Amino acid sequence: MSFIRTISESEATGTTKAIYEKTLANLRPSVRKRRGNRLPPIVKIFGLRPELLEARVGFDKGIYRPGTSGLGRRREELIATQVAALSDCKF
Amino acid sequence: MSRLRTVSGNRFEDILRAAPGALEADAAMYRQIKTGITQRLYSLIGVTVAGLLGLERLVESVQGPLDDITASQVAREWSSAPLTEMEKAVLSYTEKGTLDEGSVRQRDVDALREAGMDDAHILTIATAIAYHNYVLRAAAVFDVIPRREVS
Repeated sequence: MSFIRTISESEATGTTKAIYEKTLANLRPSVRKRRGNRLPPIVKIFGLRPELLEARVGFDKGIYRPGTSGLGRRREELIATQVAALSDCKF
Repeated sequence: MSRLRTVSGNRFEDILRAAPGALEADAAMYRQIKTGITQRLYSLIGVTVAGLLGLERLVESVQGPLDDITASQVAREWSSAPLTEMEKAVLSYTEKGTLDEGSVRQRDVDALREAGMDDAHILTIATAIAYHNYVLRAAAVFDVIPRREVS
């Protein structure tokens, strides 16, 4: 349960709906299957401000760019996991 | 001189230029945060984050319209600065979100609602806190100067 309201897949309209669908389509098949074809909650929080959601998706692609660092996915995930642990973040 | 080889200069943007699309992605994020929040609040969050991270040398670049005395006071101890109740609620959230993010609870978000903010505004504030943390931490580890906020 998030601390603020989220926009569910069925509530989404317009830009939010389009970005949701695109984000879901871009998830790795194994992740999509594990998640039961549902978006991660972090994405649905941004549904409150579609333009910010769009910028955030672009930020992931342009700055974080998982899979493009040259470190390999395993090392990238190790870094992400360590940062999450240090931040006391369950994700 | 930056600890990282940059395309040119010694600014945060120079590092982003090294990765195709990064500068544009950063600019879009920055622009969207700024459309959902006042310049004063954006700068108060930035100065608070800089102070909490021990990056006083970077306060000047994020203080925007804040005068030097206010910026210095907020960076040193925001809770004793002359701020509105709404601003104090935001900076309390900023402090938790920067130093002890795992301790944020529903009551911290409810305090922002009680201060008059709706959920879309709270989302923007949380994103501004995260963004300032990203920029200031990256600026510190690369020894570059963040984008200067205009006053």
